[in-house]
Amino acid sequence: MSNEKQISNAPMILGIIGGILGLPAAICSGACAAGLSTLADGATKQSTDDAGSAFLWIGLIAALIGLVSAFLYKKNPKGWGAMMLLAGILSGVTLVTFNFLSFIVCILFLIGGVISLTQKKPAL
Amino acid sequence: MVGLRPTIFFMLRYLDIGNNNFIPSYNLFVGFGIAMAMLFLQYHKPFKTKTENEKHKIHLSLIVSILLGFIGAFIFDAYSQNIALTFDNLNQIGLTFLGGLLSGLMILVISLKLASLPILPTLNILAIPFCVAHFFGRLGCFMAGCCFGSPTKSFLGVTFPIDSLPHNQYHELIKIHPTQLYESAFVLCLFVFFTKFKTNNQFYIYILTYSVFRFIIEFIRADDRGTVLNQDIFSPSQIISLLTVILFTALIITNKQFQKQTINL
Repeated sequence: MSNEKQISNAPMILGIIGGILGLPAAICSGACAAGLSTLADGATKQSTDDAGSAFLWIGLIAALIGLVSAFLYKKNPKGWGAMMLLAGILSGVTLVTFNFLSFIVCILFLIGGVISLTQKKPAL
Repeated sequence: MVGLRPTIFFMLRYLDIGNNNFIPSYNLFVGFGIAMAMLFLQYHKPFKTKTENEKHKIHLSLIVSILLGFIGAFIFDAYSQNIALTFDNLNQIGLTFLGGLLSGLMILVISLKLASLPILPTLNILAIPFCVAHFFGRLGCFMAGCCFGSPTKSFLGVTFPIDSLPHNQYHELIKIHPTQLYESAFVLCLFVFFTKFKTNNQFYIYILTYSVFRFIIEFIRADDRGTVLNQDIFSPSQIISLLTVILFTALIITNKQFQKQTINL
């Protein structure tokens, strides 16, 4: 019986689900940021648009990094695990818009990233 | 009369996670479907026999094709719905499954070629994982209430709740064909067929049978799918299905690798 230890598939699953949920989360973050910035003193249409776009892009980049890391982490668990953590941190930044979906995405990426980083690559 | 009352399907377009926060079911199912397909691939016997380097190349090709497939699905939906591709219109544009499948497939073929991997054998390995992702994706459509069918009195009819997309179109609670579930059931049958019977050329079987099925099912679809080529006879998906059948039939006829594999069947 082979005792060869396989690389866990958990970060891949968490990263893919996080990446796909990250897309609507990014749109929600953008909308929430635009909505919240209208409450600020001296808010203009330009400032609300900028706030919305900034958080939309941060969310989209986080989703993209998380998704790519999920597919490629088996090649280099440490490197792509660190990238998944970065995606989690970027999703965490969008939490300031009080978007709970981003919180779920952030947690999925962080757990996936931690599992990847603590993973030992089996000797071939 | 109780027997004539429509049974209202308990739809969860958004999963309530408390405090007025929601998870969109469609995205959750699509993400879950892709994740399950990838997980299935890791344990799929023909994939396990590949070297680590080949596995990495396949993963890389898949991520590129999935991302560009999403963009293809988006662009095709904008074209068929006649919506200009501008930043302001982003929230009005949806995703067209066939547009995504074919654009993703094109990118996958190109990336497999660039990675010096055999195209047809690799696509055959990916046919069952495609079925897995497709199955969950259509369940996501059902939960979201999109891609719905025309009204029916048959026992298969489903009544979607108030404020769902079908209700917004018909303005009443009526039974309609759950075309999303028909498609999921079809893909599930293909999955069982592929796993029970050792068949060669699984990819060709998947793409051709799905195109024929999709062409037929479009006749009982009732959601707004837009138009292409300035005609109303065939829906955009029917045009794509027809072209797919023609293209892949021509490929089968001209592909010597396919003929060789079929002889070994």
